[in-house]
Amino acid sequence: MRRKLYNKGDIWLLALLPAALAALLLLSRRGEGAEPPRAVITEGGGEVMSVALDKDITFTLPGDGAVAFEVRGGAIAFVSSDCPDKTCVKTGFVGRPGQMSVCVPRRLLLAVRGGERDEDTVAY
Amino acid sequence: MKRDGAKVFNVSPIAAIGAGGGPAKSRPALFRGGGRVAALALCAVLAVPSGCGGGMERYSAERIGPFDTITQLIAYADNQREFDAWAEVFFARYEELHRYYDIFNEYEGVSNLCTVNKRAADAPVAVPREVTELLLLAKQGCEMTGGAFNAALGPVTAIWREYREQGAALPPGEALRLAAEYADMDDVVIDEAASTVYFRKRGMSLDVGAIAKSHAASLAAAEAADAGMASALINAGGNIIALAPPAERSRRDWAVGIQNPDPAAGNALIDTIYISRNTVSVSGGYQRYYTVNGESYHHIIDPDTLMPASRFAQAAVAHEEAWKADVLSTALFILPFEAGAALAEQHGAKAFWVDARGKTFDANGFDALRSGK
Repeated sequence: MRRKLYNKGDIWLLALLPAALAALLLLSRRGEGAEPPRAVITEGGGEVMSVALDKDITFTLPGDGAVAFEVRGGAIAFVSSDCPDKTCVKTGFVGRPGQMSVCVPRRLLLAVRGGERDEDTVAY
Repeated sequence: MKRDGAKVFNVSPIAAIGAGGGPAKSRPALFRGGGRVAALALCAVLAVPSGCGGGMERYSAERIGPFDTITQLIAYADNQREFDAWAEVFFARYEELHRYYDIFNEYEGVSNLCTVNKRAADAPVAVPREVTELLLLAKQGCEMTGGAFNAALGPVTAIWREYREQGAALPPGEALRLAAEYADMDDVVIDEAASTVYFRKRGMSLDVGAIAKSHAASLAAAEAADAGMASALINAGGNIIALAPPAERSRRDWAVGIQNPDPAAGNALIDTIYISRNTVSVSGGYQRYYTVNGESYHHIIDPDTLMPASRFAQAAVAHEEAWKADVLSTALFILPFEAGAALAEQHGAKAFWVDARGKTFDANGFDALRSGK
């Protein structure tokens, strides 16, 4: 007996294909939008903490009062640091998904993760 | 190094169905027996919305330190291991070039631009070939911008840097004028064959801040491209280098935001452009500056006035060569609009300016970059 290449029930599958395609397109369009953006703070590559950007707050680096951050209006900034040049503070607020601010002397990185990305990167 | 979270879901359903192959008990007819063909058809359809050519995914890695900033590499790769290998090649070369081009520190076993600044007035200093090549480009940049970009301005920028770091006062004009006597690029003697650099005057020094980082990133990108990296985007402390477009069917170019020079703008960009196989450089006084008596003084010094350039809040340039985009954005930030626009046209650079009031200007077809996608 020859095996059939397909059977009756597969009709349903064919009917479902357009629907599955539409659903997946919709989902993929949403990209990272499923999770709200958060700021992830890393020191020397290791994650120190992660903070939501939906509530305005000022806080210091855990165990280090010299470095402070502020979340305001969905964005975050270094507001003080014990580094010599303060470039991190002058960078100002970052809140766009994928955007970053860095304190080079302290090896501290502030990166906005999650959220829906409108651009791949920002030139400055 | 991390894999971007976005696309995880695009792959797993394909893998789950394709690899498993077996029917789920609760959906009897669908995958039974000869239904394999239909299942494969479903896989094919599922692969479409992932949008990635050949199933490539977006990966990114950051490195803090080289050129005193953060550098990000974004690339589409088949898997993490492939991306990591490219990132290794890219960052290793980039860090090596940083050691060659560093004007602040010397490193064991290499004579670099810091060595040149210390000793090149005594006798020609032997340097790696990459250093003489950079300085020849810097000479070319100085000539093409009529000196608006001048890598020999080191004695002047060093004074500004010192005062900026102390953050209390302005440097005395007399000191700046004296330093400017030792700032002629023609007095930098480059022997390409011998790979040496010599200063004709004692007191000279080089500052390659507006050329070294972008050039290093493009050289490192070329090496990663030789290793197989194609679809990639680099952000080297604000300088952007785009290689082949993102490996996604839904887009033709990389989307590059341009930071708003007005700090009060918060999260809003001033513009977004779409580029591939191109580079972008932005010059502005909003990130390295200090304040004296309520006035802000930034780091881009006009060689004519020896003061921070004050015509614009920002200048952005797109050019296929990273070092040229970098040099031209500096020059266009300094020069009057007409001279800058003529320069952009002459060198095939697309240019964009923002003045102190937030008004924007374009030159030489910059607008065409806004309509990609």
